[in-house]
This record gives sequence, C-alpha cells and structure tokens, in this order.
Amino acid sequence: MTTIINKIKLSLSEMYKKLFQSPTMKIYLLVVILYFASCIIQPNYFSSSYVMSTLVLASFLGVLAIGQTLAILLGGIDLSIIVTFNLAAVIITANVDNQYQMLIVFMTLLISAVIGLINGLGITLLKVTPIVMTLAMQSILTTTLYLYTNGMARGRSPDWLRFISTESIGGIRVMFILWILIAFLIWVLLNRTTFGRRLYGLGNSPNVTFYSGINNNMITIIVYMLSSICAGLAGMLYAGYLGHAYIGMGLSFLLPSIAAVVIGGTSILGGKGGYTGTIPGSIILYILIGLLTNLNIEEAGRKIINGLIILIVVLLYRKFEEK
Amino acid sequence: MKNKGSQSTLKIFWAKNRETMIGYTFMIIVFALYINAQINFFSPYGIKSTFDQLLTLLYAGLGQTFVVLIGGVDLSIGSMIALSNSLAVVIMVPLADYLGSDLGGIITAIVIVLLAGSLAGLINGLLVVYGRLQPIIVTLATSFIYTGIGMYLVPKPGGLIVKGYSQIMTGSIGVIPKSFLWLVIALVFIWIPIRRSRFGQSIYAIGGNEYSAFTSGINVQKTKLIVFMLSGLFCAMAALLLTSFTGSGDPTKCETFTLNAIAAVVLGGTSLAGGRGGFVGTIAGVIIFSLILGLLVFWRVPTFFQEAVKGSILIFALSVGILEKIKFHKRYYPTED
Repeated sequence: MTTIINKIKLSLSEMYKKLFQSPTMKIYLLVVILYFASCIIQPNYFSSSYVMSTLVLASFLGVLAIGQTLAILLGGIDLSIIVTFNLAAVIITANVDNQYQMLIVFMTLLISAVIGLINGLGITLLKVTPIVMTLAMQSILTTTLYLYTNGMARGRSPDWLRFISTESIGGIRVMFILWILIAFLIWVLLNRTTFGRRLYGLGNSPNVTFYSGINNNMITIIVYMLSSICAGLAGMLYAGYLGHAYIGMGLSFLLPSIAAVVIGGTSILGGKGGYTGTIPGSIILYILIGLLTNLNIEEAGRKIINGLIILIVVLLYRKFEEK
Repeated sequence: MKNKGSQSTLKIFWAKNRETMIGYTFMIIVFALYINAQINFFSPYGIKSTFDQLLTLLYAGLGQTFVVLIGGVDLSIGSMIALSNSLAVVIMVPLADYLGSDLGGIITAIVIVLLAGSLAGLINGLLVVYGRLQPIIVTLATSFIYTGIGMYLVPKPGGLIVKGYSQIMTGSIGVIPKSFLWLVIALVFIWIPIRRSRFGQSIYAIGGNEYSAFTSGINVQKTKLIVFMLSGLFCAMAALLLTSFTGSGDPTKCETFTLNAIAAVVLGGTSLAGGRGGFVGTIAGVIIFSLILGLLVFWRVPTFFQEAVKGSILIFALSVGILEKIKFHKRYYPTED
C-alpha cells in the first residue's frame, strides 16, 4: 500500500518538477505575480474587465509577434512586419464598402504572403542578411503605403471586423479567444509537425539541417511568409479595434514585438524557445504599459522602465542558463 | 615585377576590399548623377551644404562601423545621439552663464556631452561583455532607456545653444568648409590610426572569428568594451554636430539615424558578420545616402519615394556583392551563419 502511495507521490513530484521548473512556466508565473503586484498598486485592476482588456490589447501584439517569434527562431529577424501590419489595416479599411468582404480579406492576406515571399527570396536566394532584407522591405513598403493611400488613410473598419476585435461572447472577448486559437495552431505547428522540428533544427544549425537533406531555403521562405501573414492578420484586427487605420500605426509595435519574443525566452540566436513564451511576454509588456500609464508616468519614464525591464529579464535568463 | 610572392598586391587588395570597391563604384555613379543635376555643386555653398548634411550620419556611421566589425549591431545609435543632443541643449547655456564666458560654456558642454556619450556606450559594452548578452538585445533595450532620458531632458523640441556654437562647429575656414575638415578628422585622425593599431587588428580578428581571436591571446573583453564606448563617443560627436545644425534638441527625430547608419555601413561594404570592411566604405555609404536624397529632391520625386529608393539600393548593393561569391564556390554548400 505504502509503495503505491510512494509511487504516486514520486510521479506527482516529477510532474510538479517538470511543470513548474520549465522556463516557460516561470514566465507565466511572472505574469501572475506582476498582475497581483499591479493590483496592489492599483486596486481597481482587480476586475475581470481590466484583465480582459489587457489581454485583448496584448493579443494584437501577440499575433504580430508570432511572425517575429518564427523569424527569430530561425536566427533571423523581421523588421518589415510593422509596415505589412499597417498596409493590411489600410487595405481593409479603405475597402469597407466593397460587398465582397471575404475576397478583400483573402487579398490582404495574399498580399501579406507575397511580401513575406519577397523577404524569404531575398534572404535565401540573394543571400541578403535578414536584418538588411527586412529593413529594405520596410522602406519599400512604406513608400507603397503612401502610394496606396495618397498620404492619408481613409475609410473605417467594417462592422464584422469591429465585432471580432471589440465584442465579447459569454463574458470573454472574441479577440482573446481568437488569439488563443491561433496560438494553439502555432504551438501545434512548432511542436507537433515535422515542419516545426525542421524549423528548430535550422535555427540551431543550418549546416546540420542541410546535410540531413532538408530544404533550408524552403523552410526559411515559409517562415517569412507566415510572419508577414500574421502581421497582416494583426493589422486587420487592430484596425477593427481602433475603428480606422492611420499611417504609422505599426511603428510603436516593432521594438515591443522583439521584446515580447525575447522576454518569452526565445534566444536571439535561434533554435531555442517558442511561441508559448511570447504569449506571456506580450501580456507582461502590456501590464507594464498599462500600469505605467496609469501611474501617470510620462512617456520618457515609461520608455526607460521598458528598456530596464527587458535588460533585467534577459540578464536573469542568462544567469539561469549558466547555472 | 608585379608578383610579390604568390599573389600580386592588386589581387590581394581586391580580395580584401571587394565590397568596399563596389560601394565606391556606387558612390561615383551617384556622385556623377549629382554633379550632372546640380549645376551649382562646385560653388562653395553647394559643397558646404552637401557636407553639412552628411556629417551627423558620418559620425553615427563611424560608431556603427566599429560595432558591426566585431560582429554585432548597435541599435542604440539614434538614442545615444538623442541623449547627447538633449544634454547639449540643456546644459550649454546654463554652463555659459555659470562660467561667465560663452566659449567656456561651449567647451565644457562639449566635454560633458562626449563623456556622457562614452558612458552610455560603456554601459552597452559592460552589458554585452559581462552580462554575456547579444549586442542586438542590449542595444535594443538601452535604446529605450537612452531615448527616454533624452525625452526626459527635452520633453518638447527646443532647448538653447550658445550663440557662437554653430559658428565654431560649422561654417568655413576660408574656402574649405569645416564640415569637410570634420570628415578628414574622422578618417585621418580617428579611423586610420585605430585601424593600424593593435586595437584595430584585434577588432578585425574578433569579427572574423571570436574564438580564434581569444585563443590567440587577444583581450576580447577589453576590445569589445572599448568598441562600444567608442560607438557612444562618436554618437556624442554626431549629436554635437547635429546640435550645431539644428540649434535645438529633438529626441524623437533621432530614431532614423540608427537604421540609416546600419544602411550606410552595409552599403559601404562592411559585412554584418564582422571582420570585413571598414570606415572607408562607410564614408561611401553615407555619401551615397545623402546624395541620393539631394538627387531625389532635384528630380522632384515625391518625398515618400525616398524610402523605397533607400530600400532598393540596399538590396541591390548587397545582392551584387553576394552574386560574386556565389559564382565561385559556395553554390552547393550552406554559408555558416
């Protein structure tokens, strides 16, 4: 009898170890701790509506950061996602009166995919470093953006989009549900498919994957296409949230997207980490932003604290790694 | 007697400086177009205003070149410029009043700003070396911090400078514009001595292969620290020049310098992997950038097209360099990243 109990105890403690000592769990723990800490500072945070609205705000960054996570996992980076984001938002708001909404959505995602395709081709065929390629695309797309809108974004978001981004079903915001769904898909992609395995392999060592007979270029191209598609998706959803689009709406998301990925434990060199970390990473960033805005800390102070947080988190990760 | 040993000096030169030469070829093309368009280029005003524009980017590019050479990227360049710029406009006039002399105020302000910039760079270096973090992450985070400090010092664009400041920093000595002198200083008195020193050799060694450099006895940590500190120092220099042109402080406008500096470095043939290239190429990159802007204005191209042109040039310049490599032997073997 005691041996069975001991066995149960043992397996429970093993489960406990695995669950709570995994680095990702630590980040989720950090989110909870941070939330409660902010509740102490601001008692009216202790409400479901606040939690929900923070989660929804974080979800836009979250979807945007999917692409960034994938690109960083490969050892690269995607600096063009913000303009793809902006472009998609602008397209969907400009065509609000078009009766074929599904077609517009499809076209927007298609355009995003093409952008990602160009990124991927430049990186693999022309062998241009990701930083430079996506930077260059960002510049080119900014011009495209201006051309498309003639300098000013017009239109407003279609009602169905506004519904997704702002309404709730059964007390939970639709946007949040959507985010969880997409996150689940990405998790499956990264952890349960061959593609995901190869992605990690490629991020860890391009040479080994190449000699294993895997088509490195194909994986890279698909990753950057996914990145741009997610950015376009995020752009559309954010436009739904705001009700309209404007030029420059993506700018404030670039560094936070990288920050969310890094805070989430993904190594900038690639091969380690994943989207499960980016989710709490985005949430943490938004709790902080909300808290700091609420405390009426001016933008200067907010920026400084933002940077300090990233530094502290990354330094802590380093310390844990070396142990 | 062209052959010295197994390779002629010309071949060696080409092999070592291939990408820089491509950068300069570009520059000459753009230069030719520029001169062709601007009839009054060779007037003193034409040359002066051209050099004025590119000075800030030049020093920003100098700092970025060092960091890129050791294999990293400095994303906080624009922020350090913002910080120094804000600091300059905040302390200069009070200092001049306190010391009772305009010149004293200017000089003290310059010294303080340079020290502050070096400190910012040093902090970057400490985090990279002792925190064992990637430069891109460290500079990403510190870019927030430094811009924040800049915004704290100068919440709205403004600030004051002492009246004689612009005259001292820019203007002309006779026919020669001072900005041209600043270029010469950067190249002849800063870059070339460093390049030829042991320190410079260490930089290239680290960029080529950090582990080999380490096992060869090079003090990698010290070199990296100094590199980042220099980056901050040159950003402060760039900020001082920027302040003399604009006469005020605006931390929010400095963000573009970061990516523009990376672009200029890359255009000039310095490899982002480190170990290849140098400031000589960056000069070409900076000139290309600034001249293109002037050209577009002259051809009456709408301003937002500038971005697309910048991007296309970047891609084009890099792929040209790479196509050469592919031609030779790396076709079937993946490049080590």
